[in-house]
Amino acid sequence: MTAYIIRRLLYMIPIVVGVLLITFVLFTVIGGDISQQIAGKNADAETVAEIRAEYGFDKPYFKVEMAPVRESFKEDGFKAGMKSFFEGSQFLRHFKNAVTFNFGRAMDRQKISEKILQGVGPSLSLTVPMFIASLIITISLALAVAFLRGTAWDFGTVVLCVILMSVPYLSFIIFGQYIFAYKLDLFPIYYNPTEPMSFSVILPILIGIVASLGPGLRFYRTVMLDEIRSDYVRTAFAKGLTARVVLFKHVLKNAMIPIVTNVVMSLPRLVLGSLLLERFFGIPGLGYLMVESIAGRDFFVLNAMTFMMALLIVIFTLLTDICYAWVDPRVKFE
Amino acid sequence: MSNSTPTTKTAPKPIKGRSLWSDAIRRLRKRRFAMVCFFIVMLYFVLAGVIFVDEQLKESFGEKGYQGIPAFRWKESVGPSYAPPVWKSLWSEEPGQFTWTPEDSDTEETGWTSFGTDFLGQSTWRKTLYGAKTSITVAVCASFISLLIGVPLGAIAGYYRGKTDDIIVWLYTTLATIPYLILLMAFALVLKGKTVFGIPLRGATAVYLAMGLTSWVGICRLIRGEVIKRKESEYVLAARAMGCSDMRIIFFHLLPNVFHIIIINFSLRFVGFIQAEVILSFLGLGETDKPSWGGMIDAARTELARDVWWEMTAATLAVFFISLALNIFGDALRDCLDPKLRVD
Repeated sequence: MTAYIIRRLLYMIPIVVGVLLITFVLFTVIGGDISQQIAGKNADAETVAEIRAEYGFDKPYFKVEMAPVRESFKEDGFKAGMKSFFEGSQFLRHFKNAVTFNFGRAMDRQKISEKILQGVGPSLSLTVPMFIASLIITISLALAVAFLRGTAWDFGTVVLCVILMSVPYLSFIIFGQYIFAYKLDLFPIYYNPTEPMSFSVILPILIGIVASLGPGLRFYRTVMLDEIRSDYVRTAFAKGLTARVVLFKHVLKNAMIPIVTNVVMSLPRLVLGSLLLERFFGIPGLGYLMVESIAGRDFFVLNAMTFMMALLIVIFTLLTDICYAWVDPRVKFE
Repeated sequence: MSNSTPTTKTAPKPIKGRSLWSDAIRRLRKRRFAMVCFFIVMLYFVLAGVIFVDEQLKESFGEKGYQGIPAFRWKESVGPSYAPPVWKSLWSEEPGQFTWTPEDSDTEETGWTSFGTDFLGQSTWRKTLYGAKTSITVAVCASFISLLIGVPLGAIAGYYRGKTDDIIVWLYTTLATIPYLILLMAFALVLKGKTVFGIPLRGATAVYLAMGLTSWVGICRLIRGEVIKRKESEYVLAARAMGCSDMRIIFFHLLPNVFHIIIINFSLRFVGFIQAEVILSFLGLGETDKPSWGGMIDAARTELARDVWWEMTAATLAVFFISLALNIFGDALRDCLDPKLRVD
């Protein structure tokens, strides 16, 4: 088990390096030198050069000039030498910044780490209730539908799922906002900082639940159907157990593995929030930050957020695998 | 005597075998509803094709007076700003008709549009029709790019294993680690406005390139798994004994046998591309010079405050019908093509 965990931990390293390479190529190599953009149109050459130096755009992409680094090692000691080595090329700088979580400043000169920390709270207050509520609703509906398989109820639910899946996500948001906030005036249209957050997130949460009902219900229905067809269910019914006991004590417990996998793997995405819902209802979370940075072409923020999300997902994948190995003795430690 | 044994022997009639494909098509034909959905999808494709041809003709024969098919001339203004659809009069006192003065004439005209107009007075109906071309182009090109990357990579990884496999698996695991929407937006953002190999990436080109480059992971993983499963089978062994090269075995023996998986994946992935195009256009990363469903939904954000609901509704319905048809047809296709997945 320990060897397995260590091996899985070591396997994280190439993935993290890969993510760093992708973000580097995307935002630095293809994205290009944007110091002129930061400095503004009327900035003089000196200011631009200063910003170029601050963000390291004046260095080569990968190759490090070793001569000054060696000199720095000799003259200023190990620490300064390492520093000049990591400042030597844009990729090493990118690597160092990401690993030390020091992402520098955004284009509006605010610290990126502060921006991200500020956004986590609002995002979670939107996504956590939405996630829990839709999980409870979809799983109980899926159980009911699996129990009533082959009936008109089952067929109707499947049809409803396909219909819900086919409506564009944006239409749910825009029509929901138009009808319930603008026309009927039941909820606030936009987040108002003077009001409590809980009031503003009700409508986005409801919309999010409805929008996720289609794909969620379809997935859990398949999971439940796989279980309900198995022999142990027939045995349990033959023993004379009631439907309630069979469904909740037998079927649900056995369906737990795919459900838990699905739940754990969606957890990191909760932190990211919902890009579109936050954008429409003005909730100042991470999704909002993301959309803003896209509109402002702020590659520094995008880079930091992409890396943080990827890191979270890597860690959660690791946790899932370890839990798997721990819970299910059939998993082999290859 | 004469009826006991026939004097002339005829060769037994050869029994015609049924291939996987003819079998699947036969099964699919029985599903009336799936065929209706297939017809709807084809309608969208034909519409996109006709608009494309019409546009090309207009480009080449524009000076000679070819104006194009009226229903596809979305640029013209056909009425005043935000003229309501004519059937609004069905339940409101306000008539759907309007009088307006076109820019190029002084006389007042009376007219009506069945789907209303937008801010510039362009017809919502024509814009919706044109949106089909934008969406289908993006989805088809994105699918092709992602298949072109994913299928060979998956097949090679599964066939050779070892170092090659490790590198390809590392590549797609890394890509899969980044949330899809973020990756897609990042690609679309950095590719927009760039020039690659002399091809300027404007509008739709950047969108489908970004989608294609980010969405090959799923098909690559599937094909790799299937190739690993099948590369020890007899027909591969026979091909190798005949002296076929590795490439021949991969592309002429293994891939045709997993082709149905590619088709199923393609049909279900297509919906995702259409919906992603809507989101990208909405975020301002998509086609901006020409009408698209995402662009129409984006415009609706400001329009709804003035109770202009028709543009939003038209775009939503357009996306809804093709997604619904593709979802149902894709499911039927999977049931018919993959016997293992068939549920009785």
